[in-house]
Parts: sequence; structure tokens; C-alpha cells
Amino acid sequence: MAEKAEAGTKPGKAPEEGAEKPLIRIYPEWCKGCGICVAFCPKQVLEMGEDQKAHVAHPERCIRCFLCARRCPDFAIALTDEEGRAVKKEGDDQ
Amino acid sequence: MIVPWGEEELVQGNEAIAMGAIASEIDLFAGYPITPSSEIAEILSRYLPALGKKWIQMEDEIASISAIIGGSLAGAKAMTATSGPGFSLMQEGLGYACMTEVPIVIVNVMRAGPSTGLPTQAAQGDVMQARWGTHGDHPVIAMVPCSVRECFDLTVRAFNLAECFRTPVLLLADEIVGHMRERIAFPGEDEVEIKCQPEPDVPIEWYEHYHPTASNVSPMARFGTGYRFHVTGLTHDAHGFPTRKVEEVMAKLGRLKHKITRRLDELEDVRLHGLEDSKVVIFAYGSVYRSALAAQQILAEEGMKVGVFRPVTIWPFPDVTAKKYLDDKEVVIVPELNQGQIIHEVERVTLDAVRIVPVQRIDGYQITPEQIVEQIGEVV
Amino acid sequence: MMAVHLPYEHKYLRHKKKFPHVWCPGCGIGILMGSIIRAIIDLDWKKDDVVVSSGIGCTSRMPVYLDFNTLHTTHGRALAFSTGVKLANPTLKVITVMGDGDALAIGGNHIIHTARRNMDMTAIVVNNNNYGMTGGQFSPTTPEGARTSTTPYGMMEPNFDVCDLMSGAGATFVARGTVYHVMELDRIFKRAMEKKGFSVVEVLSPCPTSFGRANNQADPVDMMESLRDDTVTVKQATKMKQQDLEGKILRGIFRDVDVPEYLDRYEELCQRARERLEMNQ
Repeated sequence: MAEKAEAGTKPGKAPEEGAEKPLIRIYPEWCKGCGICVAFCPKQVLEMGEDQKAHVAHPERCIRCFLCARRCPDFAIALTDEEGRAVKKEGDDQ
Repeated sequence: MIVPWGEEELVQGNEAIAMGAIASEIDLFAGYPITPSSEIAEILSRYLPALGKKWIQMEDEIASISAIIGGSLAGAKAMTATSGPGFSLMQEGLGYACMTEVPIVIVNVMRAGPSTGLPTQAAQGDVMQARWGTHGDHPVIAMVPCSVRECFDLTVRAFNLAECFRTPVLLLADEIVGHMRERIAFPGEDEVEIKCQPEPDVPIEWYEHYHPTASNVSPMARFGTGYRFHVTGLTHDAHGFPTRKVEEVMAKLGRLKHKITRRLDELEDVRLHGLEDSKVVIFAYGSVYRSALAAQQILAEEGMKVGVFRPVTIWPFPDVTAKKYLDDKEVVIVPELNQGQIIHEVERVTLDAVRIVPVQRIDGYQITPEQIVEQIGEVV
Repeated sequence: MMAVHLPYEHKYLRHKKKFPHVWCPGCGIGILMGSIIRAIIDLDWKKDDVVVSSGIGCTSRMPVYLDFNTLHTTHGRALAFSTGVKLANPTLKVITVMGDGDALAIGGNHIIHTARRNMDMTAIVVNNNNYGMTGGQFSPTTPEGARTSTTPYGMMEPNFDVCDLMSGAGATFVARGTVYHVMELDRIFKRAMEKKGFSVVEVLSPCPTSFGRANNQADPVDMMESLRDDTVTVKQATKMKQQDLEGKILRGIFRDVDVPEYLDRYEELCQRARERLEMNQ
């Protein structure tokens, strides 16, 4: 299973100041670098890293629309609450 | 109410098969019309709904065997009935049921082939197909009734064996046995033992759908009972998950083989008549066995002792018993309604010194006792 | 450091199975597997009650990943297996996932009869326009002119419209979605599954490795863009001019009618049979 999760920072780059708590987790072990989440995120929050994996580049822009998590074919993206628990999209059960 | 327990009735073979299924507490029949087995489906379509059991006519024989496998996985005792052409269509499903170890019963009322052949006339041309029809090595249990009463008894036994061995079981009747009517005495309800596949008795977390056991058969859970498991035709491990690891592949294929080869005594079912003091034996099965008995009678009246050896369970072939009773014989006559199929098994197990002589008929009519007597006359 | 938590859909995946799963980068099957899980969560179905069956092909590898009663059958015959499952235990909620070839070529005879019978189950036809597993051969839905490993000079044969075919066969719920429009797909699946009777959903899905590469669309993002740009909803289409609709594929629910369900009819039949037999006794 996913051991480590890459949170809010690009590999080799210190997290920007004022980056909120990481609310988007990408599991590099499961990400196959298909690029779908990056291409279709409405706020360009995500970027492809040199390791051909998706990374959270601008977490502050995230509007929590869940499209990245739901369009990920490999279940490699989770949106979490403050404690890091994966959450469902609000208003999901209407 | 429906099965005339303990009574004497004039019954057709196919009807006795249907009654045997009901006696076995069948839950699901799925079939497709084909001469000469359609009566089985017709009779069951009248009674199963009234018993609150499921009956369905599928779009073809492939769908029929698929439906009974699915039904068995969801807890139903399930059967289908067909004849040669349908049996050919069912082969992939048969192999799938062997690999996934799902108990089902397949009745094949054999008719003269190949192809459309003589649809309303009898043959025993599917014997090797029953053994090797589906691709790959696989377990096979097949029984051959010779009378209307046996149609009933062997259907019950087929269900029991399917459950106990967790594998498909074939009933190879032929058109003569299926269509003829005989006055038979049905057994009492208490005389018939119905066996079921034991329920798993382990907690859900420990359940393995193909748990290794000495008998190579393990208790089988069913869909919806709290044991969630995976079933696939891909070679799989004890959990049922696909694998290509050599030791897991060998474990699975070994399990499929040994579940039969290490319990031959439970499966063997033969009828032996006058084999001790005779030099000539008639090796016959199914409806031809009746002509063999008549031929034995004719020859006895002419002062010649002839033995009869009949396998009721034809697969697995009774190697040891056949060898024991045939190796000291001079001649073994093998009458078959085909161009020679089980005769190859007889030749395989007996010593070269034993002369194996065929009597074959493929024109759709029964081999007569006289034909057998005549052949014995020429040989001896 | 906070513990790592998995997406909530993971509670429905089999953790004994190896992830990442087997499908290629950018293949849409994983997306709709998530969509199926969310629909099941929203419907509050219990894991023990759900059966997911499949035939043979890329899509057929889905059930093994799901923590339900799962059944990976023979090529084309999944719906016949599912019919047996449902007959044996009508309380089970049966979902059958198939690819376009599995459902419509070798499985064609079974899907039209399963639709005709209207037994309560849901069929999901994942249409990526080719046989991915075996190396990208054409299927009954491959667009004319398209290249595949068996149409080196372009697909010569006409294809059929899955939803028209299913409506014609009598399916009481027919819909089409795409894996790009994933929120819509969640709603379509939920509606299809809760519907009593035979529901079929065609899901357009990208196959970058086989079909994509053969038709210079190897990049998953390109294929997803096509799903976005080449499809319109039934509602949108009503407001569009005819020429704008040219070449567009419709999405949404095409048919949602109520027809007596097979097992309900069968119950009535059992009642009639009991009465008839008691009369004879």
C-alpha cells in the first residue's frame, strides 16, 4: 500500500510559506503519470513532476471540487480534512 | 407430492431424471430445447414453479450452463439437460465449472452424431467428449444409466457427487434410455440420502474458497452469506485470486486432479456377472448392457458361460477393477453404439494376451443380443 | 506528521490485491470503478449483498479488486452467469461489467435476451472501441475508418449504437455516460442500480495504449478531451442546431420505463402453478 505521501511540495523544493495544511494527498506509488488530473483541474492546482508523477503545486487554489480524485483512474488522489482523514464530497448524498 | 415415493409407476427415462432432480431438492434448472432431452425440461417446467424453485429456458446451451454455474455459486442445487450438439456448446462452461470447483449436474441424453446426425436415435458417441471435450486437463465424473429406475437413482447420485466433490457431474443417458418407458418402483423417501456441500465453519476473515485439505475439497461458501470471495477461470490461489506462481499453479492443478484420483473407491460403481468361471466377458455400458445380459442368458442356455462387466461410473474409468477381472480372460467383447471409444480404455488396462473384440453399431438402432452372441461365436 | 488516509472509496477495495491495479495509465476503467463504488455507497448497499460479475477482457479484471461477491466468468457469458445468480438468490444486487467486445460481440446473444427478460440487474458496457486486452483488435463499436490491430487499412464495417440496440431489445433503463463526465456518471450509475429491472449503461472510456496509439491519440489527456468535446447531453442537444450535432455522441438517460420485472412475474407464475397443481391433486 502507499507508504509515503507527497504533501503539498514539489520534490526537492521547500513548501511555500503560508501553504495551508495539506488537504490533497497524492500517492506516488499508485500514480501512473497519466496526466488527467493535472490537465483537467479547473484551478491548475496540480503539476507533473520530473518523476512523471502528479504533484500538488498550488494547494491554496484548490476549490475542493473533487474532480481530480474522481477522475484519477488509479485511486491515487485523496482529499482530506484537517486531521488528514479522507472525506467525501460535501452535498454528495443529496 | 410430486415424486411418487414408494410407488410403482410406468415412467419414461427422461421423466425419471426429472423426478430424480426434484428428489435431490434441485433449486434451479436452466436448459435449452434439444431432442432427445426436452422432456426433462418440459416436466420440470411444470413442477419447479409449483415447488417455488427456479426454472428457466435460456437463449442457448452456453447460457444454460453459465446460468447453473452462477446459480450454484449463489446457493442453488442446479442442473441442465441437453444432447450432443448442446453438450458441445457447453464444453467451455464445463471446464470453467471444473476449474472454479462449482457443483453442477449436466445430463446428456446422447443421440446419434456427429453434427445433427440422427436426432431421434440413440448412440454412445459422446463418451470421449465427456472425458476430453473441454480444453486442458480437468476432473471428470460421468455415470451411464441403463434403465428408467437408474435414471432416477443416478440423478440423485449425480447431485450428491457434485456436492461432495465440488465439481460438475455428467449423466450420460442415451436416447433409448431417455425415451423408453418402464414400470419402476420408486424408492421410499427415507431410502434416498441427499447430501449437501458442507458450510464453511471458519470466521469470515480466515475463509479461503479453495482451502487446502486432505480430500482436496473444502467447504464452499455461497454468494450473499457473508463470506465475500472471488471466483475466476484464471488459475488461482487458495483465495481465488489469479496467480502465475509455479507452486500455486501446481497446487491448484494438483487439487483438481487428486480430488478424483485419490477417491476412486468412492466413485467406482460396477456391475459384475459371472466373471469368476468364464473365459469370455462382455464389457458393456448404458442401454447396450441390457443386450449383453440377454446375450449372456442365450449362451448360458446353450451351455456356454460368459461374464458381463458393466461400468456404471464410466469416468473415472475403473482401471483396477477392470484389470482384476479381465486380465485372466481370453476374450473381452466390447459392444458400443459408436465406432469404438471405451474399447480403447479396455485395451489400455488389460494385458496384451487378452483379445479385445468390438461389436459396433452406428445406424441409430440398438445392438441386439443376437449380434453379440454371433460375434462371440465367431471368436471362440 | 499526520497519518496517511486513503480515499474513502478504498474501503470497498480488496487490500489483499496488488495496487496499483493492472489497467494502463489513462485507461478509464479505474475511473468508472470508483464511480460504481460511490454509487453503491450512496445507495447504502451492504457489501455482502452485492455481486459484481464480468466476462473476459480489460474490464473483466475489475471484480477482483472489489470487496464484494465477485465473479470473473467466461468471455461474453457474464450476463448468463448473473441471471443464474439472481435466480438463485433474488436478494442479491447484481452488477455486470463488460467491455464492448465482451458484451456485444461474443456476448451479443446474451445481452439482448437478458434485456428482453427484464430481470433486475445492472449491466455496464465499457466502450473503448476495441479489444484492449488482446492487443487492440476492432469490436462491434469501432468507428468506421478507425485503425486497430485488425483493421490496418481502417475499420471497414459499420458499427451499431449500443443504446439503440439495448432499447430495441427491451432494456427498461438505457443510458450513456463517459468517464470524463464523472459526476454525471455517478448519478447515472446510482439511477441504473436502484432501478428495478434490467438497466444498461454504456460508458465511453479512453484506451490510450491500444486504440489511442493506433489512431494517433496515445495521450490519455487527448482522449479525455475528445470525450469532453465530442459528446453532448440529451438536454443540450435539444437546444443545438442540426449541423452542430453532426458527429456528436449523446450522453444521458435515453430510456427509463417501468415494465414488470422478471422475478415478480415468476412469483405470479409460481402462484398459478400451485393453484393448477392443487386443483389436479
